[in-house]
Amino acid sequence: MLKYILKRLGLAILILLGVSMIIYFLIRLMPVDFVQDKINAINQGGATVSQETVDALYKTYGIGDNSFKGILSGYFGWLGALARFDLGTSFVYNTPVADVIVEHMGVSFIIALIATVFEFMIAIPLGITAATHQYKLRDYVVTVLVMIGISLPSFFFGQILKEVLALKLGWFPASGLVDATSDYSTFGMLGQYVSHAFIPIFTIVILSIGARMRMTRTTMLEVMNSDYIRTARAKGLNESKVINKHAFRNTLIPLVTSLAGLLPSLFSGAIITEQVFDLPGIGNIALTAMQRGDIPFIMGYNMFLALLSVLGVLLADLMYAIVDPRVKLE
Amino acid sequence: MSKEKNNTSSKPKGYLTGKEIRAIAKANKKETKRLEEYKNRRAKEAEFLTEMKSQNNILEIDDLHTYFFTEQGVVKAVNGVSFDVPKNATVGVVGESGCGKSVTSMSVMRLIQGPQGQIYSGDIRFAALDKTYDIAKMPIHEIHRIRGKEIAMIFQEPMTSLNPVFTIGQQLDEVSFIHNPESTPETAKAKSMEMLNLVGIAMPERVYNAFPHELSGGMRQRVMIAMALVSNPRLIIADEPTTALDVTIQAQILDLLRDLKTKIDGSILLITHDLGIIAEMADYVVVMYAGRVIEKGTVEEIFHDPKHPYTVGLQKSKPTLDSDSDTLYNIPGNVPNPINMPDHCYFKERCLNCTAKCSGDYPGMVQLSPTHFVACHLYGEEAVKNG
Repeated sequence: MLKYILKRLGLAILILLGVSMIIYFLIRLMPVDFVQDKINAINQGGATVSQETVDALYKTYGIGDNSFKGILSGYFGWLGALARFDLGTSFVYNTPVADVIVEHMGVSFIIALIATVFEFMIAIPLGITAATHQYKLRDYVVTVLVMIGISLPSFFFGQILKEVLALKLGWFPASGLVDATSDYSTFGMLGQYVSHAFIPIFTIVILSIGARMRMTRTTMLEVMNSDYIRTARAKGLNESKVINKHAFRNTLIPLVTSLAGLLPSLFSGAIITEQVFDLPGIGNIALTAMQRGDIPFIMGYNMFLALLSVLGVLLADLMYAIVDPRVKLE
Repeated sequence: MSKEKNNTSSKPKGYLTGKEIRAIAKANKKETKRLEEYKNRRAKEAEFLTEMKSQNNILEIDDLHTYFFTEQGVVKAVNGVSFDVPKNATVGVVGESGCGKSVTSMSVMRLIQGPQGQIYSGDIRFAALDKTYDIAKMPIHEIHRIRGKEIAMIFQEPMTSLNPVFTIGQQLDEVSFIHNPESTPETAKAKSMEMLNLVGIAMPERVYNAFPHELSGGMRQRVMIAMALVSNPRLIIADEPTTALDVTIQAQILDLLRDLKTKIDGSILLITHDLGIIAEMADYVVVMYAGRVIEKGTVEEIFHDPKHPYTVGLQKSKPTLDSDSDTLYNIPGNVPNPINMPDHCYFKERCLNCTAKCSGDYPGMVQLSPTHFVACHLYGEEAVKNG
């Protein structure tokens, strides 16, 4: 087992090297130029920038030479810094990339974690009911409701919730994570967070339940039709034991595995939802960075997600071995 | 519904118009709803208690009809089946694929998958130790009194019939916990180990802790048999227990089943399409064709004096060592479509001994000896003379 994990981690390093190279080249080829945007901003203010200053700026940021050789040397520069555990300094924020990520990740992570917990807690029972009442009213009602959830775009549904719950009814604050006028005691802050995060979390949960519920339903149906369920019934087990013990344990296998695959999405932030509710999450930050050509941040953020993806896949395989006795890792 | 379809016979066979499909769906829904409600009803015990016709029998199946309500129409998979399983006897049910022998056994266990599959009518009388139940009339939530406890079942697919995520031990112990409320983990394990020993598993301790995928097909079938035995059932239904196994393992499993019958003091209902197995194992034989019993009798009567042309054909189609022929005999023709069964004998189109009478009604059961019955017009007069 340990040998298997070490082997997989070794492979992961190779994968991450490949990923980093592709991402770096793609970003450098993007038609966004941080320095040019900066100069344009200064020019609009009425001042002129001398060519020397422009050259110096390009040199400082290290993005002047867009030839293949230039990009390659830029990549190795980034890689060399990474080897010293330095992700570079964000162009936009002027602080180390690692600090920016750590600072904004918390909000996104907490929101994603809570949303995922609710998603599984709601979707799995719904999927099981739909499967055990296949083609009955309950199945149709559940299926139609979650399909509506899947079909709603997050910017649309989020906006509607905001309009109705926050602006019209005034039950929840419309945006941000804290109000200007509030008590700053620990308890007060917690209340602030809960009330501000409610609508975003609700939006994410409603939108993601559908896929998970359909997956549970399909797996459950497949399991319920298998011979060992018939055996369980023939033993004299009652139907609830058949479903909740014999069928559920088998339905759990793909679900638990998919849970491990969710690892990167816990940290990546919900870009659109964070935009709609103006949350200071990492998704929001990443979008800005992308638009403004903040190369160190984009590299740092994407590599962080790539690492989580690789670890997530490894974790999924390890989970498989734990929940399914037929799987042995070599 | 089938009448309607016969009237509009200008269309190609098997083609249904949208109107007909909707009519079928509507009728199916009505019927399945009624039968599901009947199945799930609350009922007093008196409603499903009954008396056996003969105290010698442990199971009496009487005019059982099990239907499947499909989109093309009603499939009468079991269409008026009657036979008895005497105490301490092995009854073999034989017939070709799709003749309803498995559905009959599943009906006894009430394992027919609803809402499409339903026991439509008939009685399944079972003599439990203290009471006699009519299984067909039992509400489904009462079935635990019998299922797995008084009647246990062995299935034909040992490779897929065990739950892959639980150990053999967990799955065996479970039976004790279900049917014996006084079970403790220790007594349950002791019972499971005893049964594993009984079915001839060499290293019971290892198998007890193993997962199903770690065992071979023959081992798994032994485990299935052990599982059936844990609750000391009085009737074991073996639904083609050796079909998925290779020949040497088949022989071992059959030996095991034969030994068990003497050890457990119960009856076996053996479902198979293999006449060799029937000849070796059974005391009584029931021959089924297209959802009906066409002949039944003792094993000697069926094998040495088969009466029904279908039984005769089956006997002829058996491979023998002393035959010179390169090809096996097969009965000409096909089984009629299960949705629109003809009114006359189902075997008429394939029968070589047809008489004018065969175009008439479906033949009734004719008694040839105290144990030998046949449903064929050829024997009608004889029976009248004898009777």
